[in-house]
Amino acid sequence: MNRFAELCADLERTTRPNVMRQMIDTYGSSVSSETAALAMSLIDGSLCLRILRPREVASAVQSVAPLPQWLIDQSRTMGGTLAETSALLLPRSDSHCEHSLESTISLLTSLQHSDLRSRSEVILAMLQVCSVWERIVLTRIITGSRPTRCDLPQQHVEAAEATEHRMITTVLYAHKAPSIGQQTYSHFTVGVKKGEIYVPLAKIPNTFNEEISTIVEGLATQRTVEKFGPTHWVSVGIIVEIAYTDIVPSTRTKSGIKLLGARIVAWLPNHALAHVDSID
Amino acid sequence: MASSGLLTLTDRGLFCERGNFYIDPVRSVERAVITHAHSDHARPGMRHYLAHRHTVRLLLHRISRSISTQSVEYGEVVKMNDVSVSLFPAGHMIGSSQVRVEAGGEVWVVSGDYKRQPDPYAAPFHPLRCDTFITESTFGLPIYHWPSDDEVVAAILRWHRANTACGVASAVQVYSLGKAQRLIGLLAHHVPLTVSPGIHAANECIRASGISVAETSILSHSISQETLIRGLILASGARDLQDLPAARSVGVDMAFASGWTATEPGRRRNAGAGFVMSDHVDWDDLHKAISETEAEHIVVTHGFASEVVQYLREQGRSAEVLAI
Repeated sequence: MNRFAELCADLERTTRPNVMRQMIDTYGSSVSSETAALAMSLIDGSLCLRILRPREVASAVQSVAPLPQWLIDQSRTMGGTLAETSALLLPRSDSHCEHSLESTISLLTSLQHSDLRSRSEVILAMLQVCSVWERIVLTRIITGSRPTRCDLPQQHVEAAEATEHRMITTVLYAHKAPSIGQQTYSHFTVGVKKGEIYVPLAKIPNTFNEEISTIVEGLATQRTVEKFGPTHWVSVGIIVEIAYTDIVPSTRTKSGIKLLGARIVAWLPNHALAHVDSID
Repeated sequence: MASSGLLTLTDRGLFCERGNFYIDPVRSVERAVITHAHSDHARPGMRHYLAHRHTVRLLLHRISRSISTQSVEYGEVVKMNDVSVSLFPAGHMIGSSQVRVEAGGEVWVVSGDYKRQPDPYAAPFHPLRCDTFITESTFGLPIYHWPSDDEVVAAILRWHRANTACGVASAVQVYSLGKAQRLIGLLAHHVPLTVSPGIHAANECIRASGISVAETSILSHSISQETLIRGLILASGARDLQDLPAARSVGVDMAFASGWTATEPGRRRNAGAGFVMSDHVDWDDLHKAISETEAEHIVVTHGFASEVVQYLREQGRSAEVLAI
């Protein structure tokens, strides 16, 4: 289970399909073919277990984490989903889950027809001896989510990587740089047309060279409509060409798609909004 | 904060009237006691700086060689009027200190930024008994638990190996002073390291203090693609890499080493890869530190101060928020 949790964490640390494939291959070569197949079925979502609801996980955790409800609520604003926050709220454990992935899944499967109390007790006992990432992955599995948030590469990743695609977009948001950087904006969210509106497509690091960056950052500041903390809403019209390696469907974006390996190619000062690509 | 206390908050920062000095002041003052050399604590414009000797060398490098300074060792007592001031290790970065202030039998301790995890370049945090403990709370929520350095190093090396196998360079974005040296200490035996000029300058300054920092390559226009791919890059920002021809050719995967990447919203905000490594205390170590001071009164600043204060009060402790 520990190695599988590491794989899930590793996959979230890259957006490059070929690197993901490399990570999966390395994992596959270190475990049996049955374990590798089981892992892939969990990662791609074809095997889905739902042992507890998120609020049932939260309730189980609260029985052992002596924290007031207001602090749990406050933690959730920073911790993300209810299930993951609950996993993070458990007291620190320096141990690792000693179950193999097969035995973990086998145990979870056997719990599916048990009563809520039995399920909660077993899950809690498992979570308490897990490391942080094992807890996150296990919590995702038992609440019916995929164990990693990464967008898996398609089958023919290498071909996709070799053919980089281009798209003309407009800047929608400029994101203030953290204090450690020198730039005004560390990232830009770019978008394309969807009907009559512009929808965000990707948040891309600001990799313009110094000269261009100064101009584009100045434009973004001039065109700022409203600020949401470090995120500045910029009126459309700063046209940027981007490159990407693949498009995958996404239910978490307004555009309904997510770009993989997106990077800025060029600022296009001579282009107008009419040149911006459409989602269609 | 109680007006009868040894320290009070003014518009220039934390002030000790009896000793006539400030701790990490935010505006120009006559006499400043500095906890550590990060720019949000050590600012230019003070008439005189007192700090640990390693911090003083960094201040001379970062602020100006012409500033007036006084170097002290950990535990050395300096009298300021009838107030005894001494510095003790905070574990945050090289030279980082807690400030112990004693007068009339009363002891206050200002933690500065601190952590309890081991750091090859920072003396370990030294718990001090006191009446009032002023603590930071950057990560003062119970969702923050730091993994061991071994786990972080293993994760970085796995990520680096996968990138190398695919011909992609790997860069970890870190603060040039503190986190960078901590990672150099942890990684130099495992992988060749290349650092940005800013990190290299900080390393040279630390070496000038007689402290050994592992040798690293420096990012420059002449660096080869092979060096970039095979080694691990430590950079203080994406801009360190964007103009390098080799980096443009091979592509660079950028990751952050930060405590904020411990949660999914934090990872999303950092736009990608993250390794959970912080130079601040996590929830467990914060409360362990508070407990070990045996302080009657806790003053909490920076980060989740109101949450930590409310939690301490519900545990029966006397606590208040200090909004610096």
